[in-house]
Formats: sequence, structure tokens, C-alpha cells
Amino acid sequence: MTAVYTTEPILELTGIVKQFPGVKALNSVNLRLYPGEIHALMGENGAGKSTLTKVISGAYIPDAGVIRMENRVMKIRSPLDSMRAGIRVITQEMNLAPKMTVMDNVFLNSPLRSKWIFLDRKRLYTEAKAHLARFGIDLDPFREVGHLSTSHKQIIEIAKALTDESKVLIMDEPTSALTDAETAVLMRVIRQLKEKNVAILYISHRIKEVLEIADRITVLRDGTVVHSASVRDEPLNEQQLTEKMVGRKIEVSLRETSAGRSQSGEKVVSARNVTIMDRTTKKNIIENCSIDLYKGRITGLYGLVGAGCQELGKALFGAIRITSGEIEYEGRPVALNSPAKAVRHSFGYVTADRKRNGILAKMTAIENMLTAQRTRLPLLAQPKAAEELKIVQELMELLDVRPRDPHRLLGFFSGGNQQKVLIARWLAVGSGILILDEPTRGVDVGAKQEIYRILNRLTKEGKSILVISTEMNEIFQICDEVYVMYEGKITGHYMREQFSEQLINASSHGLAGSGGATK
Amino acid sequence: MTKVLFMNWLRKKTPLFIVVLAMLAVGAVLSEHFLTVNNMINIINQSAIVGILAIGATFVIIAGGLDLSVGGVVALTGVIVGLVNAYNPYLAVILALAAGILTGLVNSALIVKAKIPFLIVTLAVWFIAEGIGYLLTDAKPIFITNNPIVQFIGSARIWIFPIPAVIFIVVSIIAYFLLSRSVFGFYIYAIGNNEEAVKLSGAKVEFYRSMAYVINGFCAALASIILVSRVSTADPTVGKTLALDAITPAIIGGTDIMGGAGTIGGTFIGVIILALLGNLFNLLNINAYWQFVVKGVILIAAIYLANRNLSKSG
Repeated sequence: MTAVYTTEPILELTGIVKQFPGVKALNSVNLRLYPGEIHALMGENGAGKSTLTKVISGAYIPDAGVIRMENRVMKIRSPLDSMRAGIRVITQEMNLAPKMTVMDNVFLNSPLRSKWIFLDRKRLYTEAKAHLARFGIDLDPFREVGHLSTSHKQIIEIAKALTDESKVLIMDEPTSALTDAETAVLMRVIRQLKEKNVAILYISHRIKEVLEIADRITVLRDGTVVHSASVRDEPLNEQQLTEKMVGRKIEVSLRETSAGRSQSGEKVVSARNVTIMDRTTKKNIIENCSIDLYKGRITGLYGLVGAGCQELGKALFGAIRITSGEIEYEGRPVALNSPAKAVRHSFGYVTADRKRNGILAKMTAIENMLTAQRTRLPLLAQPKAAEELKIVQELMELLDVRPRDPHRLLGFFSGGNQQKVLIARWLAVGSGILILDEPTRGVDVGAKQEIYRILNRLTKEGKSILVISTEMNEIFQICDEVYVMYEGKITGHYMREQFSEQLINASSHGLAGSGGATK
Repeated sequence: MTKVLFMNWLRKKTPLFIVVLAMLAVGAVLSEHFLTVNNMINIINQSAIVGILAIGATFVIIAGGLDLSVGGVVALTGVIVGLVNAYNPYLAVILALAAGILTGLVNSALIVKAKIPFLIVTLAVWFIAEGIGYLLTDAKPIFITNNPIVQFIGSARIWIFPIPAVIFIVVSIIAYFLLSRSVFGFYIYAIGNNEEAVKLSGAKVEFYRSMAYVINGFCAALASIILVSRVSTADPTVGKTLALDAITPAIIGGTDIMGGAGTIGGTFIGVIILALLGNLFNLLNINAYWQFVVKGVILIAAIYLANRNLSKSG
């Protein structure tokens, strides 16, 4: 693996600044991509990786800074500008047309035409086949894309991006949904691209993978570059890289030492050998997972994207049906086959994807806070406006929701305040168990700390909290204990005094030497 | 709080009120018979059928759906009144209402349980209901005689109000309370906004979605009974574009075709605007075909203005 040093950078970013309300997402970032080099961009969630990608792809316009492509200053004002310059971006969400064929998708952006307006299907077929062969896969161009495996879809996405002269390829977490075998195929394709002198910006937080493939590593933390060097000049091992990503910013936790607390609390929820099988692929999404939640305790559930943490959280809330295993609530087995049932057993759930399935954007803060509470009322009851308003105002006060306008549409609140409203939704109905999936995703730093303080306070009121997170720092800050997942299994369980980045990180990669911890 | 909401609503609906006032003004200038109590009552009475259908449609659209089956349901329930009338006039009306509710249940079962897209389900149910109506009658109208309910609806008045107008107003008021004041209505709005989020709040979204179609089925049967009463005839070919006629005033009145927003008050104004339009055109002696053209223009203008308002306040 030799990095190319002699050439000029093909893409050079200098002093890129991007500000969002309440948060500086990118703070004077410099980045150089060289042809034929795999450049890994690393950092925790919220470090600014995606923002940086979007600046390069033209989705965001930076507030300051210069972008040079082949030594010429370039104004990227839209995705089209970026495309024209030869930059291709492959995002986590694939932009494929699932009901069209492989060949249609490969040439989605540049359909081959013959005469007039007609597609040249014969040429499409042969060229698609040849093109895919270049990536080392043999796929029937007539197959419908929707039926393919994720890795094949990912490769079609890459093939689609590289049908013409593209010089820079940006890949945002390309392996997050892939199995190991599928990842291996993708890695081979990436190495081939490198040989063709494409500059690749590879975004991932999978450390092992990055160390295997990258020629150069840049680490972002809180919007600032904290490390950028070729791996030959400055070799890093797993631990050094983790430290750089997490930094020394693991602040003093809000949780007092858990000694004492952890023994005293009573067990409220106990999931035993929970397994969920995907009905179509017959593969287990999660397998034999057992976790306990205690009164007054914040339990963490840590794992990389796709490890199964989200699914386990949803299963506890009845939003995904479990295939086998059982869930006990206060010592009695309960069949949580719908969220409605879970809510009746005092469970509450805050989604990781606020916009998609959390907030009612076009409804008021009041209505959003009472969405769960009103399920308790008789169907034809007229909610008493004055009483409801009082409850809502108290909750807004308690959680410091700003602005304190209960009649404002929730879509107009900031991410952090929307999140507080979603937490309040469960406080209004008196839930004792809160399952929070990525509770601080997409909220600014200040609101993050506030949410932590709120959770901390809720445990004092005897609530049991499960925090699902892909952010190590979050686990360290607020959790009393943590379960770590890897590929659908629980690979580690640590109490607060056993917390170590290395241990948790190892467990989350399914590495040997980690795992079963004592209670 | 109710007052705040009402003022907000009034402000949002200002363009509609201006349209109504303008129409009233034009009508008043053109004819002395226009702006009279009698003519106004007549307008409400004339719009009772479409109005009740529009109210049913409002529930479905706010809940994030659309019901194309209404024409078929109106035809079929009318036929039921006609056929059963010979045995028992009261049972005829009751069975017709029950059939309306039943079609709503069929719609919702196929949409909620079998998970078939609502446009396809309601389109199919329209064909099926209308087809059954034809089969039962050989596509010939049935005259209805000696049905006290039909006669009552067709000719009686409460004080100065004809019965269809009374039914329309009563249905509007009940619908208003159900939709804007009750827990039930809240969840209709909520699932139209974000069904997944509401499900994750522990509400029974399938029930609410189903009930929207059931209410609409009931409204279709009720409208059908009024229609039958007016002409003392059950006509199996009456369906046609009724579903779309029902949706139009709801949309003009500000119901969001994507779901999640709309009001009974808005729909009511939408109904009145279209009724005034017909009335004005009669007064002005304009070819009735122009009504279609103008209806189309109003529909587009209403949505355009609503969107512009939205982007201004956003």
C-alpha cells in the first residue's frame, strides 16, 4: 500500500466554515484529496463528517473557505456544479430506482440514446454488463434492482456514479448496511478504483476497516480537524485512532459513581433471549439478547450502526415483534405486540429519526406533548383545554423548552427543543420506562447537556432509562451500565466502574478478549 | 384557547370569506331575489347532498386517505332504499345506512388489514357497489311511494328550513365537534400528519384510519337517502363523479390533500362557494357548462393562494 506523494492534490479544501443555528458544524476545515489515494474521514456522529461531504457535493454552501479542484478555485453552488467537476457522492441512502432493472439503474444519470428519443437497449445491456464486470461482479442487467442484496445495490450505486469521467468519489458509510462478506467485495472494488487513479474520500467510523484500507486519515472532532496524516508518515493503531476520535473531551459524568445505586435499584424490565428474525431473508437481526433495566438507572445500549441496538429498543416497545424470547415487566411476562400495549405497561419510546416518525411538525407543541396522554381519554371526550395547558406549561418549564409557546407548531422549534417535547410526551403520560434511541442526535451541544441533565433528574424520580447510542461519549457521560452489541448479539456488558473506551470499542467490533462482563 | 384557534382559523380563511362576500355582493347587485333569506336557505338546501359528502370526505382526507367509492355507495344505498321499501319503509332507510357503514368497513379492512393502497381499494369498491346496484335493478330507476321518512325529508320543513338543509347543518355541527374538539378528531389529524409517529405514541392508528372511512360511508348513505327523497326515485346510475364532487369543496375549503390539515368550517365554506356559484350563474343566465370551467379555476386558485400563504408564514 503506497500512497502517492508526488502528485498535486486533485481536490483541496481550505478554511471551510459552516454554521448552523446554535452550532458551528465546520470550523475552518482543511482537506486534501490526492488521485489514487484512499482518504479516510473519521469522527464521531455529529463531528461534521456529513456536513463536510455535503459541502463538497454542493448540497450545502459553506459560509467561508475555498474549494480548489485541480488547482483552480471552484464555486460549488449546487450538486450539479459538483457533478460537472467530476465529483461523485455515494450516500448511506441509496438513490436507486428499485423497480427498474440493473442496466436502467447503471445508466440512470446518463441514459444511452441512439436515434431520436429511443433508448438503445442492446447497447445498454452490453455496456452495463461490461461496466459491472469492471467492478468484478457478474449481474444479469435485466434483474430488478429491488431484489438484489445490499452489497450489489451498493456496487450498482458506485457503478452508476462512475460511468463517466469521475475524478473524486465520496463514500459515506458505504459498509454500514453490509455483511462482512459483502464488505470484502466492496473493498476489492475500492482498491480497483484506486488503481484507476480516482481520489476516494472514505467516511466511516469502523476503525478496523479504515485501518485496513486507508492511505491517509483525517479525524474530525466537533467540526475541527484534529488529525490529518498519511498512514505511512504517522501510523496509528486502533486505540490511538479511537482516542483521536473521542478526544479527551469525555467530561465528568453527570452520574455519580454507580456503586451502591446499581445494587439498590429494583429490576423493572427484563428481556430474556430475545431473537428477531427478518421474515424475508430468514436471517436473525438480533439473536438471544438479554438485558435488564433497573429503577433509577440509565442503561446504555452501544453498538455501531446496524449492530441491532435500534431493533432491540423497538422490540422492547412492541414496535417490532420478537420471534422468540420473552420480556418481563415487574417480574411478569408481558406480550408487547404493539406500541399501544407497551404504553399501557408504562413504556415510552423516543425515536432516533425525529422528523420521520417522531414529531407532528404541523401540529402544536401542546398536541405533540399530549399525543400519548390522550390515548388514555375516552374517544369522544373533549380534552379540557385549561387543564391540558397547565400540564404542558409545567412540562415546558421543567424541561426548559424554548420558546415557551405551547401553541407554536413543533416544526418551528429547534432540534433540541423538539427532542425535549418528545421526552415530555412520555412524562405527560407518566411513563416509568423510557427507551431513547439516539437522544441527542441532531441537537446542538448546549441542548445535549440539557438533555443529559433532564435524564439524570428523571432517574431520581425513579424512572428506568435505556439509552441507545452510537456515541461512546454519550455512554460515558450518562450511563450507569452498558450493553454492547455486535452483529445482532450482545458482546459485552459493563458496569460504570468497568467502563473503558478500549473495552467497549473492542466489544462493539466483536473482537476477542472482550465480552462477558460481570454484574 | 378556543378563541385563539377560532381567530387563527378566521385569518387563514380570509380569502375564502372575501370570495363569498364578493359573490354575495355581485348577486345582490344583479338581482333583488338573490340576497333573500329564502334564497340563502335554498342554497344550503341545494348543497345538502354534496355538503354531507364533502364532510365525510374531509375526515378521510385529513386522515391521509381518499375515498373514490362514494358514487357507488350512494347509488347502491339508494337502490337498497328502493328495493326494501316495498317490505318495510323504515327498515329500508335503516338498511341503507347500515350498508353505507358496511362499505366503509370493507374499504378500511382492505386498506388497513390487507394493506392495499386506498386509491385502488376505493376505486374497486366504487365499481363493485355500482355494479351490484345495476344487477339488483337492471339499471332501471325504482319509484318510491308511501315511505314516510322519504316524504318527510323530501317535503317537510322545520320552521322555515327544509329537512335536507337541517340535516346538512346538524351533520356539520356534529362533525365539527367530533373533528375539532374530541380526542377522536385529534388522532384523525395526527395520523394524517405522521402515522408512524402516532403509532409509536401508543395510539391505535388502524382504528382511527378505519373510522374515517366508516364515517364517510355513513355520510354517503345519508346523502343518498336525501337524494332519493328529493325525487322519490332510487336511480342506480346516480354515482358518476360524486366522489370528486365531494372532494372539491373540501379542498377549496383548505383541506390538505396530503392529509393532516383541514376543518369542517372550511369545507362548509367550500360547499357554499360552489353553491353560490351555481346560483349566480343561473341568475346571470350563463351557460351552465361554464360552471365546470370556473370550478376548475377556483380549485387551482384556492390551492395556489393557500400555498403562498404557507410559504409566507413559514
